[in-house]
Amino acid sequence: MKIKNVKDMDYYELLNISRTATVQEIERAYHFCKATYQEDSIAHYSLVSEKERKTILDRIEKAYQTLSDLNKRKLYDLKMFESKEDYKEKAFFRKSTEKLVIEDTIDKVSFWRKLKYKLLSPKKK
Amino acid sequence: MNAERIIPHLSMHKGRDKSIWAVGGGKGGTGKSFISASLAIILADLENDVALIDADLGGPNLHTFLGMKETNLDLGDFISNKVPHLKDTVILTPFKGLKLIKGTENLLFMANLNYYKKLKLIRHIKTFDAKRVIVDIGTGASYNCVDFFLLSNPGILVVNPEPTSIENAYYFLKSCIIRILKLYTDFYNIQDLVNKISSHIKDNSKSIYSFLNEIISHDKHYAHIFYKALKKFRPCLVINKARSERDFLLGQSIVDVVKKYLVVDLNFLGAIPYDERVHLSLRSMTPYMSVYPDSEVSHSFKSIVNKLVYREN
Repeated sequence: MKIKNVKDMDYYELLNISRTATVQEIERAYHFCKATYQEDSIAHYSLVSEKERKTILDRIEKAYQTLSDLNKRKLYDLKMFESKEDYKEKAFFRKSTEKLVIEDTIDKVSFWRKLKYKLLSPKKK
Repeated sequence: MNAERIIPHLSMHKGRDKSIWAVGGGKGGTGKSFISASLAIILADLENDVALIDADLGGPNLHTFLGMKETNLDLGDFISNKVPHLKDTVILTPFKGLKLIKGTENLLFMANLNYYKKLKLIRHIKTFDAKRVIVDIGTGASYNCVDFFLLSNPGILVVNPEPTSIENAYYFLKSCIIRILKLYTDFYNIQDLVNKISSHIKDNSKSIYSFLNEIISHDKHYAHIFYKALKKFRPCLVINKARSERDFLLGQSIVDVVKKYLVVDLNFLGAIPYDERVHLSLRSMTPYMSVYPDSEVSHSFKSIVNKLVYREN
């Protein structure tokens, strides 16, 4: 268990969006966060120090630069979530085409059925 | 062992049958009493069984917002044991389904509200016979104000779009967090652990996050209890006297700041626009909601009440 402060939050948590957020959602969240922590905003008054405010604004900027670029976002997701426990791969492997991404998974039932059949069926001499 | 069931200060009433809403926010003059009265009038119209308690120990004036003047009994009579039950101090208001317990103007009252009297008042508020109870709590972040806020579900924080009001609101929220941690610390009898950790936290990192992460490194079990307790504390936020589009957006920004820096999840209910007629209605001793039921302010209140009722259901 780790309680994350602003420095430990990933870019999605920082912008308060889901990992499947669209480009428009990212854009909206970025502008909202930027407005919240800009110098003339009173929302952070007395709670966030000037140093903390600059740090979070920097991170918000980096988050936007990364997540709004599809390639950078893919690399970031791979680096951040690939090996983590809560990252569950949806597909066993992916086949990409020009227009759509097809996600193929193993048919678990048929796999076990085949295995069972293989184990139980008498070996041919 | 469920701490919430045993610690009397904490809220343990949810759902349709009974709920207590408290209106607070630290700074004076933000419109807490106006908001309490307006919410109560709308709610009474909807549900017909609402009690409004003026627990502003410093300067009660909720009755004035309802267009009422002198009354025979008030909260002071219950505290000083002149009447045995809180319900004995109830007075009827001009609004159907709305009862009022008027605050006391007796200056000695504040000094007399010791720990046991406060517990007695909390117990009577929790068991008060009304579907909804709305408590208007006073200015400041004293233990009395914070405890009335914590026993409610939800506590409604009233903030004006001004730095002074925001500063006081954050101070009030921090006081609530410290109070919750203290209640749990006392309940589990782990003062030594907390004192040890507090002394380890360096001066430049005295934040709630540092404190909780220090506890995690010492004792994960208690850290989990503290974290869950803070996550259960879900106050609501209302921005009052909003004059510009920026003021209306301020609420969501405050929610973001509080989540990131104080661990707490605030629920933004909405913003009430500034209306000069609020002042005029007060001067003429006529409740605003009766005179301007179709104003923008009234519609904002109706939307807030709907959100609160929906939240419970």
